[in-house]
Amino acid sequence: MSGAMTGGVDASIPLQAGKGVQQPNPLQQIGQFAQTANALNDLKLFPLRQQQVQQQVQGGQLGLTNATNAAVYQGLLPLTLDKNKPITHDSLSTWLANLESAGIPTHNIVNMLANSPQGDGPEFDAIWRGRIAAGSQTDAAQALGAVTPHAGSVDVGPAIQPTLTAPAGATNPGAVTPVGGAFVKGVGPQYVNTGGGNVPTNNGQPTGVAIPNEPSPADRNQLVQVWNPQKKAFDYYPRVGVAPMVNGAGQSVNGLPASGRIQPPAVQPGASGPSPDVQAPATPLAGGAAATSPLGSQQEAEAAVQHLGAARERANNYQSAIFPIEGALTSLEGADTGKGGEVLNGIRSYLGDTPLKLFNFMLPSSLSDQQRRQAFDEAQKYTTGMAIGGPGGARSDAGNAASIAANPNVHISNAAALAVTKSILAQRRMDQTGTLAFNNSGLPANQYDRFMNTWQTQQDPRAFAIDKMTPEDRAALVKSFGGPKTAAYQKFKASVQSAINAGVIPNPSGAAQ
Amino acid sequence: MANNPLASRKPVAPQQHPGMMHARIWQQVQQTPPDDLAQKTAQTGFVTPILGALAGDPNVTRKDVIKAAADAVGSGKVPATQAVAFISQMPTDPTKIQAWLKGLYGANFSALVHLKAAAMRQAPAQPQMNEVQQ
Repeated sequence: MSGAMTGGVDASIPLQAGKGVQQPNPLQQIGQFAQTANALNDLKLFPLRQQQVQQQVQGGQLGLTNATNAAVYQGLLPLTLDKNKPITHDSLSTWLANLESAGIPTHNIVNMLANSPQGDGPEFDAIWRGRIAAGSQTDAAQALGAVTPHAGSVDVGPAIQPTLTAPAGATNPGAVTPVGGAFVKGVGPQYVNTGGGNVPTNNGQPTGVAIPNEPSPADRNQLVQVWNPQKKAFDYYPRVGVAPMVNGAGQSVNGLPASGRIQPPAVQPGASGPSPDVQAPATPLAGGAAATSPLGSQQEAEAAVQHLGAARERANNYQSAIFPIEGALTSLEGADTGKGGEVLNGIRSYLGDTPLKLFNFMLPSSLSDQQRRQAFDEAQKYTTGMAIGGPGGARSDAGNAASIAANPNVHISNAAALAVTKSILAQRRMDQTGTLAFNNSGLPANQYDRFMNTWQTQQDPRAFAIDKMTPEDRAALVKSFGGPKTAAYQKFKASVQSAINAGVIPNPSGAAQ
Repeated sequence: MANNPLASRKPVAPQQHPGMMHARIWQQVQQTPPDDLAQKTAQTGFVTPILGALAGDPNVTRKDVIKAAADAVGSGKVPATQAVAFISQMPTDPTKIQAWLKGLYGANFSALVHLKAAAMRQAPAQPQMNEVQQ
């Protein structure tokens, strides 16, 4: 030891006073020591805090990945400018190479492409347009809006027409389509947009072929109503493609049959118009005849392609979406939530650190108090994370408050919070299984909506959270089906098998899938 | 130790980081002679969409793969030796063909991006505006 130090006191301190050297503040040192000791104790008492810190780091990494991906997608935006120039592997790789040589890492996007292999074609083009439109947005709500048609209305003179505007990722971004068919009263515009095509008019007079007889209410749904000011009544037109134009002899002059089934206009390669991929799937009409393009079918096909793109985006982020839900479920099981829960956990926190610990037995618990306090804190964290990840949760304070109210949280009863969380988990798992089922079906993208409509109907959502049920809950559920031969039980069993095959729930037998 | 059944955790081979594939491909591209870049880019650009179409088909068979390889040779874009090597690597188990094709598709697309990026870096720099003015 140096001779300058006597009895633990630095003898040079008085000499340094006033020489511009800052003296150590003993109170500050004590405070720092206390903070360090507190942090160490905290880690010993609550080892899961370390996990929380790790999760925050992982969250930061995820944010960085999302920002990098958004930068790549923004760099790919020029690819979407010309809708007549399809996106191919060649054009996509050229633009990615541009970004790579500019120092922007593109491997996440390349991995995404490798996970959903496709050849060049309209489906590849449509899916990548949707991905670029959604991925280039930094706000989750805007990203969703980029691939979802926007509802709105257009003033067409005497009436307001509800419409849908095609999203940025569509092959016809910004195109306005009437909802539910045209309903134009009075002297209409030169062309009446029917959604599936235009009925040509001349000074307000439709020049197509009107259906002579008054159609039945059921048939009206397949027709376009156009007001005829001379007859003071509605004329009905086929709700498909471009309406036929006939001469005085009743013969078609525009190549479309004057009656019966009408084919949509043929799409020439390279011509501006809908790509074959997003053409409507064939749909049987009520009368048995098959129409290839009923009203809105083009939009239906385009929407299906966009929905598939959005579903695959969600599927890519499955693990990061499911993690807070699983965490919330585990924490909620050990936490006292609901009215008074926060106060109770405040008291526990106080009692745990003071001699008043003796009165701990007065508080209801099966777990130790500190474990329950920790579970409460974790549940609060995870459920807040779920609310932030919910629609609008990250957009504004008001959006976040609404999302918290709409999601499970520590302010509602424990049973309700658990039930809602399990329901959300089941829905998310079912969504993932559906997307994987469609990927394995080999169907084209324009069939996604129809496939999913049928698939969803065939599933029992409860099956996707069976691993989270208690044995009593499972027994009660199976009993409620009325026996293993019932359709409800078979449906449930098939859903469980689907979930196991997709890997979203563990196989009860423990066998690897 | 590795075969000790009483061991609490069996040793597990460390998983490769997904970014390593891109790193290896980048390294290979860097080692490619500049004169070969254009030819390799053209070949990879031709093959990648074909692999994508095959890998995207859940019912793909050995016959489909062999036919695609034969067509590629017939088009003159791929040498017959490469096609034979490609076919000889194909798994015999039909259930493994799609996964194998998927891996090849990802690797080829990544290679295509890196090959094009390398070609861009090697291209003569365009004269800057201030250089033109001088």
